[in-house]
Amino acid sequence: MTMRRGVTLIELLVAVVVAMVLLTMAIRVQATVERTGRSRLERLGATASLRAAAKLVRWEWAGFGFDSMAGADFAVTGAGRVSYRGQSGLLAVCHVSGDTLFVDPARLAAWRHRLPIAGRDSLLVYLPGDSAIGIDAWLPASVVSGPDPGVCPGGIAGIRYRVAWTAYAGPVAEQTVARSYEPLELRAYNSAGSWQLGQVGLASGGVVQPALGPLAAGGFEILPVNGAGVVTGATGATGLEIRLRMLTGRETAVGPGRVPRMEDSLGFRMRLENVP
Amino acid sequence: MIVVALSLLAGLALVVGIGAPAASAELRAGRMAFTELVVRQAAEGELARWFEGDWAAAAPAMLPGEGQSFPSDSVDARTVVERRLVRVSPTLWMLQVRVVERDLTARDLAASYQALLVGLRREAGDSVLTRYRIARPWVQAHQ
Repeated sequence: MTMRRGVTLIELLVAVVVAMVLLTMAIRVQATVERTGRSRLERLGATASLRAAAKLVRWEWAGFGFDSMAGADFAVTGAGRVSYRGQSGLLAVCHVSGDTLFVDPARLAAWRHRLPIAGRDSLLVYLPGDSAIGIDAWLPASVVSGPDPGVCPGGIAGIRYRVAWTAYAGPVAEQTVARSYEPLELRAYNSAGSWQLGQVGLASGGVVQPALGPLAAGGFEILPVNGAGVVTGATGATGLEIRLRMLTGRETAVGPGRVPRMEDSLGFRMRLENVP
Repeated sequence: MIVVALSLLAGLALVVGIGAPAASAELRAGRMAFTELVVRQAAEGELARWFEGDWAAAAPAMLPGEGQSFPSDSVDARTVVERRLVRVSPTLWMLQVRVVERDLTARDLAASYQALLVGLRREAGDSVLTRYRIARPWVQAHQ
């Protein structure tokens, strides 16, 4: 007869307790790893939003300028709020007759995002001056009607616009260039307790179009600076200092622990290419 | 022990599965942003150099609407600089510069297309034309 060595009840209980402790530890490790991974993804999303915001601002605002007739292209109108001329491209003006302006759509096509639309867009028309009057400025004009079919000198198919010149009665060059723009505003706004960055078309009185978010409260600052880096007004600015602070989309909760919403920030200074 | 080993393996897989692609995406986005910045700066520098350079001799002979390409420069094997002069009106010319950064398979990674509006005038007593940047001279392409 052989003797069998079994396990006692005590040994079995100890083994079960040890296994449970180890299992609990393993689950906690796994939850921590997963929570860290997810919060890192949230952080990456916030960083990507910051980069996208910086890219948008650089693209839209690098061409800001100033001249004696058109003034400055932007104005900081409040905290986290800036109104500006949203450039939509350069037009080749082939003929000007009073308040009617003809554009050659084929020329400079690569330098245009879209053709201007009456009631929404405006123009800055370059005044080159002549031997008698040395003008070097851009004349603002709002687009009253158009685009309509027209003809440029030489029988080339063109586009006709009627415009309202702003406070200027002098001659306008027969052939010149015009910058088209839409008056826009970029602002931080609160929507259901969450701060977002949004764009508004001022001419059309439109609603805020969300661009990016969520921002931290007061997370969008625009500081016009001069050549010495000192904060100044829009007319004396040669650059802009932008400060952005964004939040991760939500807190991360896996297992017993949670990672609260985090903040990421980006600050940069950009040169304005069209200031004197 | 088997349970612990499996859990640790699962944790490791999560770290690699979530962490590595995230780090890779972050690196790629950072590198792309840097490339875009470099290309943009290169185009700005090229425009400034070219404004002082050799375009003014050819400019007066062009008719409004005409364009002339200037020889392309290759800064290095992966960076191409294209230059074009266009007369946009009787008194205005446009210096256009396009800088493209390509990868090893010649695929475009980033490009910057910028221009300067410039004028030429004869100052009193001068026999040669003087070049000048007009007000708001800088333009960026929308393509």
